[in-house]
Amino acid sequence: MHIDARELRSGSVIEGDICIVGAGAAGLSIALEWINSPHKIILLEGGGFEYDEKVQDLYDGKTTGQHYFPLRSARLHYFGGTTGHWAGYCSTMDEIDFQKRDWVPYSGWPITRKDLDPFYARAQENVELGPYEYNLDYWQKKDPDLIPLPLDKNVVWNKIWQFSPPTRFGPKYRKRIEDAKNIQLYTYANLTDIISNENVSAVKQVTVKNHAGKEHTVHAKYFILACGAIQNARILLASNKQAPQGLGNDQGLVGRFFMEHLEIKSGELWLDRPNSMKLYMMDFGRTKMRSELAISAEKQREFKILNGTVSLSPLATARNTRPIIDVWTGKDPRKDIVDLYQNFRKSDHAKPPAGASPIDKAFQLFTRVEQAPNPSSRITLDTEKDSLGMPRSILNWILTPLEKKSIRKIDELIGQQAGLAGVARVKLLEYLWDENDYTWPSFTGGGWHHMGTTRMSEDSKAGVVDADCRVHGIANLYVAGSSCFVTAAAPNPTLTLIALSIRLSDHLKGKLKRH
Amino acid sequence: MHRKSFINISFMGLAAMAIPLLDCAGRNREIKKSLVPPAFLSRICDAKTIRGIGVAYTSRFPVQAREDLLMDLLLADEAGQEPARPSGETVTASFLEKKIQNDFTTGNTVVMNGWILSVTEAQQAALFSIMTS
Ligand SMILES: Cc1cc2nc3c(=O)[nH]c(=O)nc-3n(C[C@H](O)[C@H](O)[C@H](O)COP(=O)(O)OP(=O)(O)OC[C@H]3O[C@@H](n4cnc5c(N)ncnc54)[C@H](O)[C@@H]3O)c2cc1C
Repeated sequence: MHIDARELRSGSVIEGDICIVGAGAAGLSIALEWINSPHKIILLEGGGFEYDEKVQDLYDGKTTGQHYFPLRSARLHYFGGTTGHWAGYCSTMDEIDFQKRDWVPYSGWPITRKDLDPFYARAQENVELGPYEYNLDYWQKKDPDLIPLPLDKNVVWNKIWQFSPPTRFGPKYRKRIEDAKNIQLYTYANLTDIISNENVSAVKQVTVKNHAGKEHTVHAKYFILACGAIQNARILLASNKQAPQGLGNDQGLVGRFFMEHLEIKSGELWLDRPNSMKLYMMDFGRTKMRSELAISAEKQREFKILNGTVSLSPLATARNTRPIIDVWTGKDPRKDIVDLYQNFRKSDHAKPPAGASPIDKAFQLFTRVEQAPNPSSRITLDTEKDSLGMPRSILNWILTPLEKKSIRKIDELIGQQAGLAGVARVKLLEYLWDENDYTWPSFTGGGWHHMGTTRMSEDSKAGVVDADCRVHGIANLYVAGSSCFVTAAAPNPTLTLIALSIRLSDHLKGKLKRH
Repeated sequence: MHRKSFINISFMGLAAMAIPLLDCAGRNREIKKSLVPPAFLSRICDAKTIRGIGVAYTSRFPVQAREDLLMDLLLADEAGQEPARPSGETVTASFLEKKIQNDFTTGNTVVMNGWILSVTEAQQAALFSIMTS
């Protein structure tokens, strides 16, 4: 059932068993799990079914530190969330990503890759991926033309990615949600405050507002915040009536450890003869899977580097592509996305005819590396408020030398292996030439991946949520999404955040069954 | 011995010695030529780029900026000792190819102007830059 919260009488009280806040990838993935269950699910969505300037503006905020996309346009604020713009690149995290790595400060999840496996398999369906197969052998059996570069697997291996169509959660799941009898979807229901009991051990109710001047209250047994990593932190910090530092923030950790993926061109791979590179190529909207070059866990340990993967694209084309950080500069995400696609299309046209010169056998190395968890990289609240009275967010994105060292080492290892195999030479881009230079070039960018701001830990002093994504110290408040990530790993976050959300959903099903 | 005949004999002796010396210089020139340019690099980039790599190498290791020394280094065996004197161009090419392979296996690599190279091919580029400057 769908209800527009602008149409309700102000001061309405909404009640349910579970209240999910946010109808993006995380929130909708949870809601879908509860269809036809005996429980009443309240799904609160700040926006409507279409883009709305006033609602979108609630995302506006400041950025300091490393240059970043405007916060206003880096996320979408309506039903379906940012899946309205996402590109659909998916892969799974590796075992090493969950482990404590002594060279990566604050690393180590309280869960393992094995714990997530069954949920990854279910998450695949939500984003319409192929079979839950991330093994090269499987794909090669289907298509023998997928030939890997002959590199030593113990050093550089082929990490498989799959591509969602990309699934736009809004149009894809709207009807199923609206038709579900036990789900009440409220649009234009922006959460602005979480009210806890006096000793801050449980959430009593949440307040929602909209630009029609309506304010409502929601009661539920359990509350799940699923508003994205920046908004989840912002909401917890701003809910400070009972806990002056904000909810779940006794240790001052909410908003800290903001992580992005560094996505940056890093080098060039020059083959001396034509090679079938089908395995590595991607035609947006058509390709179902491809491989990127990744560094083995052993070598990550040996060289004390972060995890990352490297994609290859024809150099002649890639050279004409403007860095995305220079393209995605506006405050209107609808315009930014058009500019982004135009940028890719333009570079395609500029491509010289194949076979004309050695550059036709050359590929750009584009490295995507996890950011080391760093408490100084964080979301805080501004004194300026949005039109619904919530303090705006400030992002201070801070990188460390480890990211740059890792990018350099990853590309160097690929270069050495390519040399050893006698198939190619690698040229690093100039900003990586000097090992002692830790500055970043102007084209350094992220992938619009926000992670880490309510990190997971079994220790309430080291994390905001526990291994079930429950906020430490608050019995009925959960967080869904990449804000719970402890480390970022190499892959884009959505498949993993959906897997984690489904896992949270199963956990709550177990709880409700017991009661 | 008459002074004149001594001069004659000495002259003949010198001439006899000079023939193998000349021969040796010619052979060296041939070998040197067979050492450059680095084969793989010449398939993927132009002479200017290779020269640039060579110049970068000699400015990082200025003591090696001598043709004879680079030649000795290139022809040294894997232990870096006893310079080998391969006979023909093909022999040199396969000798260098093996050396390059070994460099990559043992991590004997350098980054020159961003290129991740075997030390051997960087030295080839250095020799090439000196020979063509
Ligand atoms: C251009 C672009 C390309 C991307 N490409 C990829 C990719 O290829 N692969 C990948 O894995 N990821 C990609 N991403 C990231 C991906 O979109 C996010 O990881 C994903 O959407 C996050 O899901 P979420 O549910 O946590 O947040 P969102 O999808 O942003 O959903 C949050 C929801 O919460 C609602 N909300 C926010 N605040 C409130 C509030 N106070 N009250 C009520 N509701 C609220 C919002 O309206 C929204 O519906 C991309 C992002 C962008 C911008």
